[in-house]
Amino acid sequence: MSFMITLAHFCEVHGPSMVICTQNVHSGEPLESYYGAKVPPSSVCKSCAFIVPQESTSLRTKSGNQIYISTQHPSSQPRYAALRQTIMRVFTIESNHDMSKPLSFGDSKNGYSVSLGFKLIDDTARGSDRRYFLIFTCDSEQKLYENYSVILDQLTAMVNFITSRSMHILDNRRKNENNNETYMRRGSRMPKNRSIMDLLQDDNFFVKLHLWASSLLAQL
Amino acid sequence: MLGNLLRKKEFCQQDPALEPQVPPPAYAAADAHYSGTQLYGPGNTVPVASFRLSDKSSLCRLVVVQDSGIRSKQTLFDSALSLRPGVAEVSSPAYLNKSFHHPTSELSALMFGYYGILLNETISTTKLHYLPPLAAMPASMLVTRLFSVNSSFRLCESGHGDPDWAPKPCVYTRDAPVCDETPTRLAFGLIVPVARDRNAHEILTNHWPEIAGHLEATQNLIVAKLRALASPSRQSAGSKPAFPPGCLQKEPDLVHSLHLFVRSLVFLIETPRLYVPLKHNDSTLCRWAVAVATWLELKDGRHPSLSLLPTPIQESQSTSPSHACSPVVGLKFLATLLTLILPYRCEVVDGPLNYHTRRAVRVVLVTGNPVVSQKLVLILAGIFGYDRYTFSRTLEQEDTDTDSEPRPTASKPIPIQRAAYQDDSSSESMSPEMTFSSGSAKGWEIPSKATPIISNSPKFTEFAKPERQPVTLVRRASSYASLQNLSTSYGSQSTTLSSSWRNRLHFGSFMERWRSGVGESVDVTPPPAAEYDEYPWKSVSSGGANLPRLSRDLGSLDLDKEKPVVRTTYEIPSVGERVDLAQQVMAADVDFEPVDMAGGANVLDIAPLAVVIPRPQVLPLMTGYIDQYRPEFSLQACPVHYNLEGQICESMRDDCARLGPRASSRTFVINLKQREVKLMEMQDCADTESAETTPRLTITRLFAPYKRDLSEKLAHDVEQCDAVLNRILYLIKSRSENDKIRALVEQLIH
Repeated sequence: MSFMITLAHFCEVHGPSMVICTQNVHSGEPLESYYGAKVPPSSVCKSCAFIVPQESTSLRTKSGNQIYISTQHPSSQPRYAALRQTIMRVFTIESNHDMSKPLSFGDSKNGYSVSLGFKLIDDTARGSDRRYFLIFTCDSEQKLYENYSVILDQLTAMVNFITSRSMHILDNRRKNENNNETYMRRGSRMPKNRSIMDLLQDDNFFVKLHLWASSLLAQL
Repeated sequence: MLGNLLRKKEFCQQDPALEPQVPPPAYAAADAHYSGTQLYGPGNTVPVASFRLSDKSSLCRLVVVQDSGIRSKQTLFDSALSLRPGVAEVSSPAYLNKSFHHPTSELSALMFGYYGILLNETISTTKLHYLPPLAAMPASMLVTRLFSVNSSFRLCESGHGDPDWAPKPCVYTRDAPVCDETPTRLAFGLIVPVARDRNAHEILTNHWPEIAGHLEATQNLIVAKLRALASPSRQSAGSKPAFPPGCLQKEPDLVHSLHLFVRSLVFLIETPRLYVPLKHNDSTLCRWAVAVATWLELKDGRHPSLSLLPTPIQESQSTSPSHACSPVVGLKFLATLLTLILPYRCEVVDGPLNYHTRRAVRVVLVTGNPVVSQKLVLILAGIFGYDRYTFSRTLEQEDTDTDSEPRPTASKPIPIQRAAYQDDSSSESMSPEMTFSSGSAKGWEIPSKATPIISNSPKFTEFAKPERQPVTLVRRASSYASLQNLSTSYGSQSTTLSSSWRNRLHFGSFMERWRSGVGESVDVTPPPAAEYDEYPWKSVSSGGANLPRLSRDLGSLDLDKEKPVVRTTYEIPSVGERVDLAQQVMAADVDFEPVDMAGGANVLDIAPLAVVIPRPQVLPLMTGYIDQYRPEFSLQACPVHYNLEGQICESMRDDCARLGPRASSRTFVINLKQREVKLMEMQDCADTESAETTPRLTITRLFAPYKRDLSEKLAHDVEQCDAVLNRILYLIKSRSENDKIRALVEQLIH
C-alpha cells in the first residue's frame, strides 16, 4: 500500500506545484530510491520551495518498523506523474461549492485522493491570497475509504491550525501597524514570492508538517 | 415473558424519543423477542440507526449526463424528473422541484469539473462531493462516475503496467474504451441525503466497496442501454457517439438500479450488526457458552435419553476417553457446521467479498423461526469474530467493577457442579424406571416402534440422577420434551427420516422456554415452581432444594446492571479524546539530526511522535435475522423463500463480476428446517477477458441428518470439534471457568 501526503500550492510563477510530499517506504525497498535530489533553483521559487534546516533534501522518520520520507517531489517517475495530475485537477479542474469541504476523486491511473484546500491571506500575493491544498493520495481505493474519516479529520485539523495561525499573525500585525499609508494599498514591489513558512512565521514548518504526515500514516 | 414484555416496552419507549414520527423499523417485529444484550453487545437493546436513510429515500436521485462540449451538458436521465405522475411528458417541459433537488447544471459542474476540460479523456473516474444545502435537504452528497464510450461500446481494463504505482480500484472494472478513437464522455451521479454532523460522509465511505460495486453495475447498465439505442442508428465506426437529451428517461431499469442502490444502502446503514465480544467480556462469554450448551441439548439432543434414537455416528465410550462426558449421542450438527465453516472464519468477518483473495463467502441461515436462528447466530458470530471484536478497556473496567461488588447474588462457582456432570457418566447404578414411569404418568406415549431401541440401547441406564444440578434439570426437562417438537423450524411436514420420530411423539412446544433462554436473565426464567411442575421426574426431590441456586447462578449473568456499550447500528464510536495531531505537532519543538548518507543525499532524521488516534470500530457485515436475504451481509438469518437459491445465485454472480477473473464465491446455506448444510459454489474459471463468460455453479450437500459419507478426515475433525463443544457444555456451570472456555474457543478456531 502506498500513501502520499502532499502540500500543493498554486504558485504565481510555476503554476500548480508540490511543495512537500511524504511517502511510506515499503519494507524491503532501498531507502535511497526515495530520497530527494537537489531541485534546480530555476524550477522553484520561494513560494513553492521545500525549505528545511541544513539545506537538506529529505526528511526521514522511523516509527516502529515503518519509515516515512518527505521530499519535495516523489523520486519515482510514475508517482510524480500521478501526483502532478492530481494537483492539476484540484487547482484547475475540479469544482467544489464550499472550499472547506473535501474533494475526493480517483481513478485507476492516478490513484485515489482526498484533498482539502485553503487560502492564506497575503497582501503581497496576486489576488491577496495564496491557495494551497493538502492532498492525501493512496493507490488502493478500498484502503483510502476505509480510513476516510481519520484522514479527513486530521486534514481538517491541520488546515484549521494553519488558517487560524495565519489569521492570528495577520491580526497581530494589523494591531501593530497603525499606519494609514498601507490602508487599502498594495506594497511597493508586487507581487512577491513568499513561502508558507514566512506566512506562518515558523522556520520548522516543513519539518513539523513531515512529522504530522508521518504520524498520520503510522495510524493507517 | 414478563421480562420480554418489559424489554419490548422499553424498546418502544426508546424509539419514539429518537424520531417521534417514525414507525419502528422493519426488523423490529422479528427482533421483538431478541434480547439485544445477546447479539448487540452488553447492555444493549436492538440498536436503532441514528440516521434513517429510508425516510429520505425519495430524495435519492440518479442523473445521467452527457458531455457534448465545453459548457454544453445534456441530461440523458434524471430520476427526479420521472417522479411526476399524471402529466403528459411530451407537453410538459422537464420540471424539477428546486427545494428538493439540485439543478442539473450545478450537478454537472461538479461531475465534469468547472471547465469541462478533462485531463484524462478515457479512464473512469469516481468522485465524491458535498452538495450545498437545499430547503428540504440540508445535507447531501454526490457520488459521480465519469466514463467514456466510443462507437464500439466495449470497455477494457486500462493498462497500468508500472509496479511502482499501480492504483487498485475497489471492484474489478473495465474502465477504458477498447480503442482511443474519439470517445464520448458521460457521467452519472447518485445523490444521497446525509446527516448534518461532522462524520456524515461515513454512511458512504464506510460502505464504499458496496457503493463501488453499484457504480460499476450502473455504469454497465447505462453502457448497455446506450448501445441498444445506438445500434438502430448505425453510426459509422469511429465517429463520436452522441445521444439525444432525455433518451434514457423512460428506461425503467435505471429507476430500478437506483432503487437497488438505495435499498442496499438502507440495509447497510439501518440493519443492526452483531457485536459479540467473547474474548473481552465475561458476561457475553457466559451467554455464548449457555447458547452453545442449549443448542447441544435442545437441538443436537445431547441427552442420554436420546440413545433411543438411531445416532448418525455411534460414539462408544472407548473412542473418547479424553473427557468425562461420554454419553454423547444425538446429532453432531453444531460440530459439523463449525468444522465446515470455521476455516472460512476470517473471510466471513472481513465481509462477504474479499478483494485481495478474490473470494467471497457468505453464511445464510434459513429458518422460519427467528428465535432459534438467534441462538445459532450468536454462537457463530461469537466464534467468527472472536479475535476481531474488541472491547474498550474503560468499559471493561467498569464491567468487572460491577461484577466484583459484594452482591448476594455475586458470581461464585457452585461447588457441586463439576461433580454433577462427572456423575452423569458414572451413574450406571441409577434405576431407569424412575424416569420412565414418570414419563408415562404424564401421559406421554412412547411409540411402540421406538421401544425396542430403548431396550437395546446400552446407554439407557446412564440416566438422570437425583443430585443433578437444577440448571441442568431445567434444561433437561426442556430438552426432553422439546426435542420432540422443538420449533417450527423442524416443520411437521418434513418427510425426512430425522423428523418422523418427532411427529409421532407429540408434546407441547417448548418455544417459550427456548425463547426465554436458560441463561439470559433472571426475570425471563420461569418461576421455579412452575418449572418444577413440568419436570417429569417427580420422584427426584433433591432438585427442588437446589432450585434457588438456579436463579443465583443466572443472577450472575444478569445484564441489567451492566454498562451498555455505546454503539450504532454499524459501528462502535471511538472511545477517548479526539486527537488533534496538528495541534500536537505544530505547537511543540521538533528534534532532528542530520544523517550522513553515502551518495550525497542530504537527509534529516526526525524523531517520531508517539501518539495513537482512537478510531471507531466498524462492525463486520454480520447480522441476525432479517426479513429477506441480503447479499451485503456475510452472516445472516433469513426466512424461507421459494426463490432463495435463485437470489443467492444471483448475488454470487455479482460477486464474481465484482471480484474479476478467477474469482470464486461460496455460500453456506444452513437450512434449520431440514437441518442440512449446503455449499453453493461459483467459480469464475474463465481466463479469457471476454465479458460473456458465465461462472459455473455447483451445489454440494455437506451435512444432512444421517448423512454418513463424511470423509474420514472430516469425520475426525467433527469428532474433535464435538469434543471441544462438549467440554464447553460442562464448563459453563461455573463462571470461574471463563478462561478455560476461551482456551477452548481458541482451540476451535485454530
